[in-house]
Amino acid sequence: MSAIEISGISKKFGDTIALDSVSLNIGQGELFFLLGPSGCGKTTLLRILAGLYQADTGSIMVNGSDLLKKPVEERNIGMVFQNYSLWPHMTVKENIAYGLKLRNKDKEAVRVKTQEALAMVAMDKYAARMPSTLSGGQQQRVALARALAYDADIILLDEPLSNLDAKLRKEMRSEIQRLHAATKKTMIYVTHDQEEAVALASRMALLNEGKVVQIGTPEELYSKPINAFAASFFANTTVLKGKISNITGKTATITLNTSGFSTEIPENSPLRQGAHITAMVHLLENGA
Amino acid sequence: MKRTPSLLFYGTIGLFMAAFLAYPLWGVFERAFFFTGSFSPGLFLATLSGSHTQQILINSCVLGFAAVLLSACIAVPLAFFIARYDFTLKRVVSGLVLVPMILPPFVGAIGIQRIFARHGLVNMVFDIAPFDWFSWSGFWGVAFLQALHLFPIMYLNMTAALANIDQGLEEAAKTAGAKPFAVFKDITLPLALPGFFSGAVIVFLWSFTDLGTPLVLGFRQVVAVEIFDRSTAINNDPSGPALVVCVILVTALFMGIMRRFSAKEVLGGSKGSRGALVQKPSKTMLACIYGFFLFVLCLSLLPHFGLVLTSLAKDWFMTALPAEYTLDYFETALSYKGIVLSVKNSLVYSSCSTLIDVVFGLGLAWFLVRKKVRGAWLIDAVVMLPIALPGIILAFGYLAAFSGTILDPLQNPAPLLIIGYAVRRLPYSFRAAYAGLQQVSPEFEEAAQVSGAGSVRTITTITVPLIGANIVAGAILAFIFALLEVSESMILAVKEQFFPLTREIYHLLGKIPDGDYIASALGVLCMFLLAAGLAGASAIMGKHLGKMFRV
Repeated sequence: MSAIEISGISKKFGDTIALDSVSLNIGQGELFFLLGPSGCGKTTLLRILAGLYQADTGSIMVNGSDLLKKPVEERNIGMVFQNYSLWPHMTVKENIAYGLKLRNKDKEAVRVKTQEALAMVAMDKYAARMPSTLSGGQQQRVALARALAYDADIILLDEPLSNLDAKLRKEMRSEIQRLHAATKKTMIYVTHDQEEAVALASRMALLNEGKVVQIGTPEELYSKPINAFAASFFANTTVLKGKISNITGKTATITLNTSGFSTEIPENSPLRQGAHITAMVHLLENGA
Repeated sequence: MKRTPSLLFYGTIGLFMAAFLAYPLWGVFERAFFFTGSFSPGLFLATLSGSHTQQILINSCVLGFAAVLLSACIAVPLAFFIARYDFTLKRVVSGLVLVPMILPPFVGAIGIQRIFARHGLVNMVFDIAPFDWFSWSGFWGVAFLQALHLFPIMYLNMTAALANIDQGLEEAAKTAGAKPFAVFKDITLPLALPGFFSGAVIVFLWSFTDLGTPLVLGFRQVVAVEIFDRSTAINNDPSGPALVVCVILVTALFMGIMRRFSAKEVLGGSKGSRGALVQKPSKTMLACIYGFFLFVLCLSLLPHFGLVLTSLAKDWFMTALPAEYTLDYFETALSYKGIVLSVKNSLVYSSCSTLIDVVFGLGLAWFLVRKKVRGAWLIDAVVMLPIALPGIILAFGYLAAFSGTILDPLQNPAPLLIIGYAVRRLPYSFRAAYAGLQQVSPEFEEAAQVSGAGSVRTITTITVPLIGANIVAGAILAFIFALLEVSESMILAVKEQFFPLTREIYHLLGKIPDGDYIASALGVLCMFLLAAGLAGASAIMGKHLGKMFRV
C-alpha cells in the first residue's frame, strides 16, 4: 500500500512550467528521493507537499484524504531546510521543543520528547546553546532533530547536505540513514547529487524539466536507464548512435552510424595511442 | 606601510571628539555637581527632588512614550506592507512615506495650528463651535506632530528588520504546525524586535528632547523648554545643568537598553539566506495597503498643507480656507534683511559642518572597513552615538564648557554651531561611506598601492570615485539635517546677526502684523530645499537609506 499518492500535480510560475502533471506513489517507511538537475521541479514538488506552494492541479492522497486541501500547519510534516533555518532567537532545545509545544499541552511530555530528540542526534550537550554558535554539521543535526521530534507523518528533506563540506556530507549521509532506520518514517529527500541518492534511496524519481523521467530503485535507474538523459545523469556516458541491423536469437548486431567514435579521456588516464581497449555501452532505444 | 598619516588622522579625530563631545558633557556634570567649586551634590539633588522638576521630567517621558506609540501605529503596519508585499506603486509609496521628515515639526506646528485653530479649517468645515484643539490637547498635539515627523525613522528600522528575516525561518514554523498568528508571535515578532527597539529609542529620545514643537504649541511643561529657558542663566543657576544631567542619564539608559536588544542582531547570517518572502497581496489586502497609505499620507501632509496655505494666504481669519491668495510673503521673505542673513548663515554653517563630516566620515569608515583595527566596534559606537544624542545636551554642554573662552557662543556662535552640527550629523556621512566601502573590493585599492600610490592618494584617486554616490548621499543628509537643526540653533545663537534659518523662523513667529505668514513662506522654501535633498539621497542610497538611522 502506498503511503502517499501523488497524481497529476502541475505548477506554473508565470509562463514557466515548473511541474507538468507529475504522478508517483511513495510507500510507507520509504526513504524516497526526488532527483534531478537544478530547475527540474524537484524542490517545487517538495514545497507543494509541504504546503509552501499551491499546486495548480492534481492531488496528493495521504491516508485517504487530500493533503492539498489542508493548510501547511495541519499537514503534520517535518521539514529539514537547505540552510537549516534554525530560529536564531531560540536555543537548540527551544528550537526542537517548538513543534512539540504546539501539539502537546503537557510540559513534562515536551521535555522528555525534546530530550529524546536531542539524544537521537547526539546533541544533548548543546541543548542550551544558540544556533549561531554551532558548526554547520551541528546545525544540521539540530534541524534533523527538530523535524523528527514531534512524530510527523512525513519528513521532507530539501537538499539537506548541500551546505556541508565533502567529509561532513559523508558523515551526515550515514547519520540520515541511521535515523531513517531507527524511526522508520516516510522520508522524501530532494537532491541533485546522484551519489547521495544511490547511497541512501530505497527508491527514487528522476525529474527533468518538470516531468518524471523514471521511477525505481537506485539499481534500476543506474543499470537500466530508460533514455539518454537518465543514462547521462548517472555517469559520464559515451553516446554512440546506430541501428540494430540484425537480431538472431538473443544476440543483437548493431551498426554504428560512424565507423569510429571519439570520447573524452579522463584526467591522468594511462591511455596511449595504439593501445587496445574495451568500451562499455549502455543500450538505449532511440525514440523508437 | 607608513604609519604616520593614520596616526595623525586618528589623533585629529580623537582630539575633535574629546574636545567637542566628551569635554562639553563633562562641563555639564561639572556645573551640576561642582557648582560651588567643590563637590556639592546637594544642589543637584535639590533640583531633582523639586516637585516641578519631577513633573516636567514625567511630562517629557510620557510625551516620548506617546510619540513612540503613535509612530508605531503608523510605522509598523507600513513597514509590514512594504517589506512583505509586492505591488505596483511600491517604490513610490516607500519614497513618499519619507516626506514627513523634510519639515522640522515646529515649522509644521505653524501650519497645523491654522488647521485646528479656534476658527481654523476643521472647525469651519465641520461647523463645530469655536474649539481650540491644541490648547485642549497641548500634550497630544505635540505628541501627534512629533509622531508625524518621526515615524519614518521607525519605519526605516522596521522595514529593514522585517525584510532581513529569512523566509525559511517562518516556513519552518509553518511546517512544524504553527498557525499564521503563532508564526507571527513566535518567529516574526521576536526577530523584528531589535529593529523596532532601535527605531523606538531614537523616536523616544528625539521627542523627549524636542524643543521646537512644545515651544511653538505652547506646551511648556517639558524638560527641553525648561533647559532652554535656563540656558541664559547658566552661570548663576545650577538647576539648568542638573536638568541636563537628568536628560543625559535618561538618554544613556535608553541607549543601553537599545544596545542590549540589538546585540542579539546576529540573525539569519547562515549561508543561502533568502531574506523575507515578498508576496503578491490579495485584492482585499491591496485595498488595505493603499487605503492605509493614503490615510497616512494625508495625515502626515497636514502640517505641510497648512504651512503652504498660510504662506500663500493674504488674510486667513474666520474662514475655512484663506479668502485671498498672494505671493507677497515670499517676496517679503526674500527681501527681508534678517531672513536673507539667516539663510546665508545657515548655508555657511551647514556647508562647513558637512565638509567636516565628509572628511571625517570617509576617513573613519575607510579605517574601520579596510584596516580591521582593534576596537573597531567601539569607534563605530562612538561615531554613531550622536544620532541619539539630543541637541539640547550638546548645546548646553557647549555653553557650559566654552562660555568665557575664545569660542564663547555669546560673542560669536558660528564656530560652535558648525562643530555642533558636524558632530551630530557625522553618523550620516560615516554610515553612507561605510556602506559604500563594504561593497567595493579592496583589491582596487591594493592595485593602486602596488602601482605606487600612497594611502591618501589611493583614497582620493580610487576610493572616492568608486563610492562617490554614497559620499554624496551622506553629505546631502548631513547637510539637510544640519539645515533643519533646531535645539542647538535655538540655544547657541543669541545675537540676531548669527541666527540660522530655524532660529529666524521662531523669531518671526507671532510678530505683528505678518510674522506668521512670512515665517510660513520661509518654512515652505525650507521644505522644498529639504525635499529635493532627501529625494536625491534616497535615489542614490536606495535600500541602504535605512542604515543611516540606526545606532
